[in-house]
Amino acid sequence: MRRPNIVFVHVDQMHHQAISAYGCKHVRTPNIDRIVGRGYSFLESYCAMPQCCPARTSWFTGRMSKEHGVVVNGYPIDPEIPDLGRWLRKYGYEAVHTGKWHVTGRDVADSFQVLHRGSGHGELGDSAVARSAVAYLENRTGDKPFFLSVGFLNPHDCCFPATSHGGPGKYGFAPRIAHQLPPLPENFDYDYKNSGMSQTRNWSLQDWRYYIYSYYRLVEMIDAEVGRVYGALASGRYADNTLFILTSDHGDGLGFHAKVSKGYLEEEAGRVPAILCWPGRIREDVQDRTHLVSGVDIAATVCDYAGVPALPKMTIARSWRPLLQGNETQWRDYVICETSIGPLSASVRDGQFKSIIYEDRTRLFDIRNDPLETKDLAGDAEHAAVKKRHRDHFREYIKQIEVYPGPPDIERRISRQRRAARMPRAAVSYKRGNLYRAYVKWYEKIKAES
Amino acid sequence: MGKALISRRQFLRSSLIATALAAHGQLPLLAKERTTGSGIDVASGPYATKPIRDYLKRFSPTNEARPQRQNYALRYNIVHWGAVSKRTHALTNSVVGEVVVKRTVAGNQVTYEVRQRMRIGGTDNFIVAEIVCDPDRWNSLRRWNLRSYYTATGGQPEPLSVLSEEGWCKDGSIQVRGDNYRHSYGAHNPVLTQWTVPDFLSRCTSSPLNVCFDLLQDLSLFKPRQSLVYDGSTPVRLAGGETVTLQTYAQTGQGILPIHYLLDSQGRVQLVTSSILSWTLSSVEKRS
Repeated sequence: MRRPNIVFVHVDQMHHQAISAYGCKHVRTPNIDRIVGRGYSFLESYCAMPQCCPARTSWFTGRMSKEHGVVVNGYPIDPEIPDLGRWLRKYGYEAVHTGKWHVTGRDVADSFQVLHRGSGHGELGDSAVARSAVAYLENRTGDKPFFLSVGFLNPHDCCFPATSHGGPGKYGFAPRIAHQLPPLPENFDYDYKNSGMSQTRNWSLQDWRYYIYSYYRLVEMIDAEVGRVYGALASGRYADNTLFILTSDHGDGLGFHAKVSKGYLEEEAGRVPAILCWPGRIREDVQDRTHLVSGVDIAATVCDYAGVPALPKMTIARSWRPLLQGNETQWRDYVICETSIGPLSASVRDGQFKSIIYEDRTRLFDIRNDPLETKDLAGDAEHAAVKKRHRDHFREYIKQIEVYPGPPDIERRISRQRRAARMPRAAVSYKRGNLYRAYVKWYEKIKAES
Repeated sequence: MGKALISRRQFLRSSLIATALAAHGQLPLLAKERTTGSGIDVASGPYATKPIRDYLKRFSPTNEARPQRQNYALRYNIVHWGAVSKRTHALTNSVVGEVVVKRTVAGNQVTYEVRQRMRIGGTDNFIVAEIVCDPDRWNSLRRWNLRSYYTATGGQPEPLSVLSEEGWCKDGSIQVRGDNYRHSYGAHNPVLTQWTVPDFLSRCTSSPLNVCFDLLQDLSLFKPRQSLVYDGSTPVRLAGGETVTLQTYAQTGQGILPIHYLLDSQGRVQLVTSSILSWTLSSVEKRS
């Protein structure tokens, strides 16, 4: 049997509900809708960490952020860890990448054949990236199976229009299209000027609605580019033997809880679309609300379908193949999402509830009955058992993973940094060293709990 | 009659404080009622030129007369919204490319030749297209061919990047074909590309314009239900410090952020602004 080709399309900062096929009335995504109709959607899908570099590194390594070392943007990957590009090449695949990569500490060209490097702005680079992917499908020769990774930027451009001191967003235009502006989310926090994110405290409610309007247009932009790639694949010469995967590195606040951007563990940031399509080979028109999946599973699924050994030390990643093909399988009871932005924290999601565990407190939500996370149940005595169970899950998870303590020469690096900064020891806060230490210490403490 | 709970003076004082806080949006319950105005665009100037307000300091409108003939070429710089300097708070705009649109009328068709170059990700990216349109008010799309590529080291086209497509639009049915694939779309409005909209506007402007069309962006990406309406006049402060007033048209619709077209008194589209990318007219050339 021929080994399949795999096209892995990833977008950036896409809210898990911003798809018209899932019922969103404020956006039109005919291309993604088509893929949803012909494929299998995981609706209970979480990223490994809601920030670009950590989440992307998890896709390509099958490891959580506290394992691969990219614990926030800018932190380098553990150089010893292989990624999908290197791994698939080793086993006979043509590994090709175009567009956004953003795995810090590793040049994409060391792992993949690179078509195009894209741009930090989707409006500038995404069309070129899509064209490069389609041109590759048109022009490639040879008999090897291929793994094509296509990295789009949008809807991430939503980060720029409202930056302080004037991004390009035309917020003053909002009154002219007031009738087109979507409503605020039901769980919008009207106290945001006091309790919300610092960058949005000067926003008016009209600004919020224009932000949401703009965000949906950016989603439609990327829908068109996704459609360009999918359409070329689905009507082209590789259609019969190619698995198509579409996901996002993390979500976006989109006004939910009066938040924008990402980095935190509420559903809007941590939950992501995950859609796979291969007509005739995997189940079609399935919207799976039962199985909890994670960004780390991408690597396991790709290895499984490619018929290559699993990447080493994928501690919690699971292949989706049995689910996609409708085979009986024992699935995980909970899924973890971590963050190192703001206070260290991790979410534990099971079939009904989700805890967000911090060093000093826990929040608990009934996701099934309160999907907008409006009522914190952590203080309710009747939910004490759920809270404890989630804490046990978190401890079990920490025992399972291989926690990365930072580069071996981290102490020397910190000293060098101090000397370069010519600052007194007491005044130096070397963030990088401190962050590694902070999560190692916290995880050790939880592991030691009885 | 019982003693008042607060004096008139106290009441007036409290009211003044509450009003001041509400004006700054610091009283949540009152702020909930505030739905208009922008806290973001306070000092950004007119929204239609906001993405290029740094570039405008260096911009002079093209004064070459728009040819009376129907054959001419429009040349635009493609201006990129950069980033805001955290140190100086300055917005940066840079020119990342150029697009030239040549228009020729012959017989019962209008032909647009497009050549676009953009610097993206360290490479020059080219799109070259020939578009044949109906001679109607819209110059709506009839058929086209397009070639795109980016350059390798040395400036030659990277062979793996070359993409050739052809397409046509008839009775609302759009077909786009590569060598091995095809896309099909159904249009319910006249179909235009981003390269022909400025010409449409320069031929059809009238202040109350309010029309709807379907966009085939890059001759590949179908974005239906585009609205194009007159949006008033915009004062634009230029390089020499002078201010010109440009008539503004706004495009909104599926898959685009609002696009503004700014026309001078001769009907030349001097500026096209979107979000990250904008166009600024650099020349109008007569063609035989």
